[in-house]
Amino acid sequence: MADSWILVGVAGRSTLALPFPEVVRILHRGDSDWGPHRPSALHLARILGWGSEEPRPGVLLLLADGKAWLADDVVRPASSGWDYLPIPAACLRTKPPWARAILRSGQGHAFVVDARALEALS
Amino acid sequence: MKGALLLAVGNLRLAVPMAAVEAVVPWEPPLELPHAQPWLAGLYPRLGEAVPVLNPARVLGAAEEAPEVLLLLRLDGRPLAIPGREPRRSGGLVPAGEPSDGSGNGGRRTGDGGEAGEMDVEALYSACGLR
Repeated sequence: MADSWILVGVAGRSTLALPFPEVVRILHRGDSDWGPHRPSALHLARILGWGSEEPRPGVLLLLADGKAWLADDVVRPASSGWDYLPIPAACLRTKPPWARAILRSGQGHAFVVDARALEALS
Repeated sequence: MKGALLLAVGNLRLAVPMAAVEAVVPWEPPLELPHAQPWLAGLYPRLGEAVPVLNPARVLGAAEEAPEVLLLLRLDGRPLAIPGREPRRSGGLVPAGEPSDGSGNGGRRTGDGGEAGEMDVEALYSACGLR
């Protein structure tokens, strides 16, 4: 289990948590180097079935595996004070499960994702 | 069955063995989980666990109705929650012959003269892949 996470808003309705070391860079809309990554970027809202609208304001995350993800925005880093609640694998149709756990605190919750499993849904 | 908790689930009345009942808590909409199994309505975060919440319409064939409570079960250390209404304890159930609704749940006469289908908790967990 990672000690720190990057929280990403998706489709204005949920938050995903990625282990901090898996994210190499975060590019905001308008960054000059957004373009080259845009065509192959995975649209998280579309993958999760939460609509196909362009995320706003929009961030593009470059991951350690070379993939790029599109999301609404980076919400905040989370490093402490969050409960880690494992999700039973039997709850999900995907093998391996795309979500490993729920991070929960008084500030809200986020689904901890398995990046490879989530990318396999695209 | 030694004691049961009676729960209205949609158009069904279920008798849940008290041995499997952990708690009854006020209804809260569970967290929606994309790409979940059809039997799952969502997840209910509680005391360090993400508790799977059953979709009664998909699993039990119960008509959809606004729940009032979540019935929390535990079997072999694994939690499961069922949305329902009007929970109350029954001292015991006695066989009432053939199920009156044809559901195969096994009709049982309750202390107040009503009838409830006896829930097979182990079969429910197996149907959900939780054991």
